[in-house]
Amino acid sequence: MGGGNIAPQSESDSRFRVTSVRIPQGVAFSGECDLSSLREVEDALSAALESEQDVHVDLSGLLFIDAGGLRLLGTTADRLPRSRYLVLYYPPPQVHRMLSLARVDADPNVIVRGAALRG
Amino acid sequence: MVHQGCVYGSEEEFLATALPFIENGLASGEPVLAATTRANIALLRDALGPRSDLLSCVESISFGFRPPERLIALDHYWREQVSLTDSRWIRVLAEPIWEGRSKREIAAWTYMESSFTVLFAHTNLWMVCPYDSRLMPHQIIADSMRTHPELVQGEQVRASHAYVHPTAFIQQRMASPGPSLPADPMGGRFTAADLVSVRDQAKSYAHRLSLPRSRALDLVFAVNEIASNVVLHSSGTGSVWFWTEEEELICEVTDDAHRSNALNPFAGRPPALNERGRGLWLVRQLCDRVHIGSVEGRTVVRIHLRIHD
Repeated sequence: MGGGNIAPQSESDSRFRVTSVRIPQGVAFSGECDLSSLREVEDALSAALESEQDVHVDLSGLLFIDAGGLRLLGTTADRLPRSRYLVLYYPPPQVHRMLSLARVDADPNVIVRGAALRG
Repeated sequence: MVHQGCVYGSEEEFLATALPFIENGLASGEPVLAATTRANIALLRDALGPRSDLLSCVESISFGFRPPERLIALDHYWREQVSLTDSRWIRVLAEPIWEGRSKREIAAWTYMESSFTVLFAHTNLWMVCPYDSRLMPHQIIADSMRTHPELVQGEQVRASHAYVHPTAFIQQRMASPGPSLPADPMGGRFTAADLVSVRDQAKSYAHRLSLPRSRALDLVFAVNEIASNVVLHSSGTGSVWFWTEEEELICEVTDDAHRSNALNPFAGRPPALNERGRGLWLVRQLCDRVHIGSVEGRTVVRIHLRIHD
């Protein structure tokens, strides 16, 4: 198991943010996604669903995601037709672990790109 | 689910129970997995001859070493097989791992053995758990009869007279006080606005105990989820405490609300095939023990995490 201990983070580092990403067109989630960010996550994913393309989500800056956030990713995948994908980029190890335990990554409409090995 | 215990004291006794269980499954075209010791796997392969190709084997130790890992391994195997076959049963010979375990690890595993019966009640798993009486202390053998509704010997199945329903079993275990009073507790009250601080407290406490990073993050996820449940589905306020008992970190979240319909002690079961898991199912996949009970009408969720492997 990887060394190091987690040190408390200050609130400003961890605030949840949604930003748009140009290429490929999509969104990036960063900070800590908890109950207070679910609305923002839902809106961002719903908007992305409206395009006729794959839904690209950059998770590289995501420090934390709760079960509600994982569920929204799962339901987004459920709403996609078979020909479209939810593509999740660079989830940090712990986020990737939770994507697996919640079986989001097992969804046939989900592709996880550049997942780091568990630290 | 069928959940049977099997106490054996020799190679012959092991085979007398394990072989018919496996052979009947294979004959019906059912998936069968033997998760047992290396020596027992060799015995089974030898006895089955060429048919052993049909049997999946894994050493117990690789089929989930900590209780949550065993829970995940079992759930994954079940899910994988159900998607491949519509056979009546999915059979697993699941030998627990007791050797070299501390008192607390034994307690956590025993707790899980009891909980299986309810957590997987909705599945078509048929699980036989062999217990080697040559190696196990008497208490572990005695507990196997409390945690398994049925006992099997050879092809004879009987109800276990000592069986204690999981609800009663876990209450007994929660009631019994730990060996020491909570040492160095940390925590306090929280409201809906405090989830960030709850997570920060979890991180600080994990840091204080030098928890490995990934285990610390498991704690953060779990406590956030339990506190979120209070915020979302109940009074919105509660308290959270962290403390240490021997080699376990304990975290307890108490809901402020007095509720007549307290949280089910087995909330957070593995989801059905067409469903997605809820937060508490994820919590169960991270913690060595998840104890849901009530104290003076308030829902209390207590999780145990091993501090070091």
